[in-house]
Amino acid sequence: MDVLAGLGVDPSEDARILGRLVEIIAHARGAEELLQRLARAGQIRPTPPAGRALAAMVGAGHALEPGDWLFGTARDWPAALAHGLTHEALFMQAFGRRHERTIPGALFDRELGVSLSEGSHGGHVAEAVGFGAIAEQRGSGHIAVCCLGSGTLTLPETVASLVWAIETRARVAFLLRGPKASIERLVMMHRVPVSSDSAHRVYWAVAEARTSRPGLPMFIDARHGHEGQAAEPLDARELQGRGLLSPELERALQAEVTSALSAARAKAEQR
Amino acid sequence: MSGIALVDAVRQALAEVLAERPDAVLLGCDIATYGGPFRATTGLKERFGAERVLDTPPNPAAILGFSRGLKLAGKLPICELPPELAARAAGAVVDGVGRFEARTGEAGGPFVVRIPVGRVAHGMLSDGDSPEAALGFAAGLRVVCPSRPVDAWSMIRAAVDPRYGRNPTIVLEPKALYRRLGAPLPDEPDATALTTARRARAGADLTLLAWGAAVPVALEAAERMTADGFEVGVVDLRSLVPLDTATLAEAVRETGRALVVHDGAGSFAGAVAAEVMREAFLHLEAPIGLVSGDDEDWVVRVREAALATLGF
Repeated sequence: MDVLAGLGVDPSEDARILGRLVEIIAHARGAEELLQRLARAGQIRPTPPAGRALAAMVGAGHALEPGDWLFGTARDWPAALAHGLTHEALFMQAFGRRHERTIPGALFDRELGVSLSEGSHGGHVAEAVGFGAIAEQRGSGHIAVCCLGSGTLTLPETVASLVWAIETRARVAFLLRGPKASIERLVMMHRVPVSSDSAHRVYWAVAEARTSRPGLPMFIDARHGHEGQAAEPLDARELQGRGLLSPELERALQAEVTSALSAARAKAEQR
Repeated sequence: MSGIALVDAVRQALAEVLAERPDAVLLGCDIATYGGPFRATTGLKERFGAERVLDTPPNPAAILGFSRGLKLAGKLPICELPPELAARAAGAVVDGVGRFEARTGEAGGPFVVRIPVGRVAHGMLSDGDSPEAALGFAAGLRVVCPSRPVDAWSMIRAAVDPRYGRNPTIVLEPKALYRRLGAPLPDEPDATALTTARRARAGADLTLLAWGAAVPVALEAAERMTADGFEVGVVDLRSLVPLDTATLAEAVRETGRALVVHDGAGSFAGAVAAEVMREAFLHLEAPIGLVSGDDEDWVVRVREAALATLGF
């Protein structure tokens, strides 16, 4: 219970929370069973099952406080249930009878702070980051919980959103749920750090990829800072260090470059 | 000619909205530090702060998603989508704004999306993309395309004013006209630019229907045809959704002949022709023509198509 002490949580309070979570999980499992039965009977549209992710969703949803928002896909309804969505609202939505503009499967509740979209293809991740960025700006203390699976992780908008989340220090907790897949493999990738100022190092990194670790992709990490120009012409220095590039040779090379470029430009301008 | 360029009118509208609406936030790829690919947002970050003018990754779906998140957090998002991704952006807008509105009812009142569109010299591969072909049929959107600085300024100013409706507004800004000068801006925006077409030139023989970058081309072709002995009128659509069919049909009924002049392939022009034919069918003396700008002699091509519509 060290974690609880760190958070300043009274053990009896924790027992109460645990009891409530068990209660919600039971409700959610019952709802999941019924939804699946209704879908099999063709009475509602097929609903992706929460399956083994159900408890994780419930825990995330129950941790939300007023003013926080939950973002996810239609699959994440157990989190909404744990955040206060009623069974009635859930089933009205499942039957496409909630509000006039309802879309079966998707859930939206401004008062509660729930936005579960259908077919958003990572758009809900961006929504969460947008909300979280403003929460950070305002210093409101609110957070967004964003549920996503490994499929969503592979989408370009998700990558863009995660990058923007870091840039804006967005107050978002991303809940990665569902079966282990591509994200697990990413961390297994062989990483080779190289200087972006050295073509020589990158060359040998690629050569290494060709000859070693058959069947395993390599991650050549040649990131650099925000300055555009090379900090130092490392390759030329190395050549000089080996006595293979004299100042005269370097000047001759520069003259050759200038001459070739001038000729090309003149030809293009004459057309 | 003295006056203001279209890109400066856009910038002025954005600055005025930021000054008047503390909840307004601009976002888009390279719009903050760099000032936007066409400099439509230059200086706004310095003036209004990094919390209100935000750089984002270059992904239309993500930018629209961020904007929805901002909207849910009580902000007024005005986003600029990357120009080189106009076609992909159109799909993202339909998915990310139209369907968000359908799902939540939260996209409107207001939500503004700016997309630089159309061809321009030294442009990119996707410059011929015509996003209005996709956006013109999306539910729940208002789509406008200015050809003059005053219209661009008025459209953006009126789009954030709930008095003029709550639908999300998509402003298609013709890149080719960004540096084109127009008359100085008036004191008050003309909100009719959001919903109505403009009779740009009167003419009794033929009506050219155009929008965005095609408008100055149509005007120049009409001017040249005066020497051919024809009086050619020009209507600037301005609003693509809703389409002001009343003004279009009225102009075509007066001449009995119409030619739709548009910028880019796969365009909205067919829909415009169909609407005009429905409203003015009994007044037509010739089939409605379509002419697209896909080469440097666009004005010449318009004149040739206009003469064909006139039976020559």
